[in-house]
Amino acid sequence: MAGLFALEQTAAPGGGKTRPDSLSFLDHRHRFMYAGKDAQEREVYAVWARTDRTLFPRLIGTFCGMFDIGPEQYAVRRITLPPGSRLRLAAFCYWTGFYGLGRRLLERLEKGRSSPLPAGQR
Amino acid sequence: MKFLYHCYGGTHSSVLAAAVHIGMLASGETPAPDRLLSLPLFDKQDGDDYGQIHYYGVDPAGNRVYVMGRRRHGAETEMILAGLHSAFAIQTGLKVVDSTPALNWSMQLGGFLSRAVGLKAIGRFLVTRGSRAAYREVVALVNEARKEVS
Repeated sequence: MAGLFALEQTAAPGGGKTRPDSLSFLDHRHRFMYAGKDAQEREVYAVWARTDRTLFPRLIGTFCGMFDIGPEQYAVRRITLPPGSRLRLAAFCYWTGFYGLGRRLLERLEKGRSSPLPAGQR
Repeated sequence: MKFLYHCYGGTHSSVLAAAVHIGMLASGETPAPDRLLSLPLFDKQDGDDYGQIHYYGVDPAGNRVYVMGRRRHGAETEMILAGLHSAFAIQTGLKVVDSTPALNWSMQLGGFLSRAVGLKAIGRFLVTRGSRAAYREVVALVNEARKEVS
């Protein structure tokens, strides 16, 4: 989800749909991925792994403290899916380790999607 | 250069390795149980503190040494740290070392009893016994980490 949302954020407005069959990162169980630059020329990364919600923010925060990187230089955003979103099932498949099934669900959803994600889901 | 030792709770093997690395413990002499228990952070970290990187000291070469607990997410932690290091284009080197290969059953059981169950007397007895038994392996782990970056 993080990878897809990061790519959405860096895509040019009206830039068309993503082709899931070209997104090899969907098969990775954990990854730190550079997605590109957004409209304000800020670098956007995606990171995902099967951990709890505590590890990532703490690790990123203390890592930045370790190297004197100020909080103004980065922002961490956790992807949350709205209730009832069909993406939740795909996310659940990934979370429980059924990566193949999760990927197939994403591909089906992406084929049926006609426009980029609404701003509220970013 | 910065060194970061990580293990499950960030309070036993990683602390032992960091103490050896900065010279707080002599490499050639197995420390006494009391000496181990007097080390900063040794068997003192709260299990809920995982994900926090703690500064431990400076080694004789001037490198800063850190420890952290990451529960069972060692591979994910190393992946994130490598990604962040690259993303921020940090020039200072970072050597991340998993200290759990030096663990033995006595340290694991003792750590669980002391930190998770609260049976400090028996837990600390087992942890210090295991730490002393694993000491040469910990020293070897630290020497290997030093050698890899030199």
